[in-house]
Amino acid sequence: MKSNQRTRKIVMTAVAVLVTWFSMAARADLVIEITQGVESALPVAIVPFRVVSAQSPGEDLASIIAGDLERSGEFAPLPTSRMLSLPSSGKDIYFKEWQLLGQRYLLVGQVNVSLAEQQLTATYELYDVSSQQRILGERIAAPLDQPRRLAHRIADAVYEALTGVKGVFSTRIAYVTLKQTARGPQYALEVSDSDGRNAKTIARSAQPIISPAWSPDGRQLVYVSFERNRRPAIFIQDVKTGTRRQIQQFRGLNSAPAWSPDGSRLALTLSKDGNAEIYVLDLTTNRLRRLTNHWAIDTEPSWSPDGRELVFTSDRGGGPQVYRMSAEGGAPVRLTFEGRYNARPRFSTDGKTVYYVHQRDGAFHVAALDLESRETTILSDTDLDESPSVAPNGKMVIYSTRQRNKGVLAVVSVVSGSRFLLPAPDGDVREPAWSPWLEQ
Amino acid sequence: MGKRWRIAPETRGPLVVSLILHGLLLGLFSMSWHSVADVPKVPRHMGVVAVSADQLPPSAAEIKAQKQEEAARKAREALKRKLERQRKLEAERKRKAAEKKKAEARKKAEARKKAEAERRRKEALALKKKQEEDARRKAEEIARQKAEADRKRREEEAQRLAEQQRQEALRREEEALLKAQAEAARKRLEAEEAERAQARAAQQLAERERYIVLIRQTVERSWRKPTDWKPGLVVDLRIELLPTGELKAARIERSSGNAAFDRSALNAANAVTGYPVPKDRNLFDREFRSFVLRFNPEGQR
Repeated sequence: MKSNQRTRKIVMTAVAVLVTWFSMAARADLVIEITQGVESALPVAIVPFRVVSAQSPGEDLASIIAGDLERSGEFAPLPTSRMLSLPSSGKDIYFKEWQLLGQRYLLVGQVNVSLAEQQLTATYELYDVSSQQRILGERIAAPLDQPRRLAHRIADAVYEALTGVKGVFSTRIAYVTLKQTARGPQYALEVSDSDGRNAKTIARSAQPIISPAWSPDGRQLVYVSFERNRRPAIFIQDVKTGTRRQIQQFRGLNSAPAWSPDGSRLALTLSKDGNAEIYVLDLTTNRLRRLTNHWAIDTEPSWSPDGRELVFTSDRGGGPQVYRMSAEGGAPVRLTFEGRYNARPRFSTDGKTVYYVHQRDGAFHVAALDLESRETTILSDTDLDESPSVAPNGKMVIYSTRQRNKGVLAVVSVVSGSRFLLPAPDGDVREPAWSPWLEQ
Repeated sequence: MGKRWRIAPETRGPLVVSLILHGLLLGLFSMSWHSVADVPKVPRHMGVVAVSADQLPPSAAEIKAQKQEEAARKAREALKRKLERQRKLEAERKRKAAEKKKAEARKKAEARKKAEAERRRKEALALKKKQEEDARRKAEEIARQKAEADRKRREEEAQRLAEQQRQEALRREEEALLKAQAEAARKRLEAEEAERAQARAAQQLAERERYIVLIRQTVERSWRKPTDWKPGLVVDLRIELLPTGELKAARIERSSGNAAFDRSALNAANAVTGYPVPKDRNLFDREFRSFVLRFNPEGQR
């Protein structure tokens, strides 16, 4: 009787366990689907790097990194004044504090100046504040005189780790400045860091310099200069050495050169046949091929990333509009229809969007046209926005605008739409061109 | 192993008689021997004389005397032999008589002995028989008593069983009644419980939906979608919560293959300081203690 009861008890327990197990196995897990996210910038704390050497690096690396990340429009760095502590390595971090400050990620680091080795060394660590996980940890070095470069490289690494996209902070921009001097106007072709700092003049002229464009390898710039007899001529200049050469000059207009993605050709505007048309010049054979043939002005060509197509401005429709055509020639297709002025098109890096200048209510803005949906988005909100140029990661567009009656440069985040002005150098700034990826 | 000569009992009597007679004969013989030997019993110094006399030749008288002597001696001897014979016969007779008597006595003793043995045997037999009889009677008595006891016990057992069955039947009846009442009560309770469970399930379902929406909103407010998300990126996070809504663990269960995308999801989940969870512990345990957050920017809602 007793053993019988016990047996029954065991059997009942086994049954109960099995039933529970089955029911648990059978019940599907609750899945909550997250489809939306906020577009607001990601709060990150970039703590001032501790200088471990007697010598200072001369620049505040953290503020350069914070500036880079903020300018991308995707990050909201915490002002140093709001920080409760300044850890410089993982073991010093009190995570709760950063969590209370609403920070998602935390960058800490140290910098060492070695006069003996003539180099700067930075050690940095990136942490996820909530999970307290270390995401990045690296030691990098740069020549003694390039602390900014060191900072940009760290910003690139952080940006890539958190967005999945390569950062463009170590790339450069070229632009033209105009200064009024005692001897008259002074035009200069400048190349600076992506934040507008560390600018260097690579060409100077009393006559206008226009339409700078980068070679795909980032080593050369092509631009139009009126320096010889006030007539436009196209020059190709090595950025590092300064050596330059003038390409074959044609009668009339020589304008708007654009390097093909493979670097072998230039698309450009010539009026040698009486009216501004788009041609392609083979840089090795010097052979010229005419792509457009229309009585209207066809100018400002831009290559698609695969080099198969061009977009350009034409007023064949009555006013300037953006058209697309094969790089082999053929009939252009009109892309823009909104407004009476749409010009200066540039392909996005993925070839899916075209950025251009759009006039609306008397003001000029940078706009984006989605080639698939044909949807137009206005990216800038100032009045005289010109010359959009796309960053190599496709996430930012630089353009020129006017501030206090002076040309300045601005960047807009394609992702968030946030805009930042670059620090204004002396004079009037115009026609920025964002470099491609550069060798470190 | 030496074999001992056995004397058959029936030869024992004559043998004894013969032995006695021989003994007697031997006694006589020795006596006569001694008498003969004793005759010339003279001192040793006188012998020499005698011998010298003997060496003299016998005279006629002497021979006559000798003859007479011889005749007398022969007569004596004859008598003696006759006497001996008579004596022997008498002895024999006596012996035989004694023997006979002895045999008779022996026979008698034997018979007596035999009778005695027979008597004893008979007595023993009788005793044995009596003992057996006693034992038998005793066993019979015991068996009888046992049978009686058994019978009594069986009767009692039967009575007890009957009583037990009666009681059992009573108990069963009572039990059945109670059971029926309990069953009715249980059914009633079950019905009520089912109703309540249904109501609770409905409420839980509503609660479940409500908290799914609340969690979704909370996480979506927390999620900074990475800029580079490409269509098709989906990451599943396993979320484990404490009943307080505090995050116990968040880990990638199925990666999107894009580190930054996964990281953004994990960061969003981790950054939520308190997950909205139902107070109903049952519902919490079943649905929200452990669940999956699927970050799917292209998902349809």
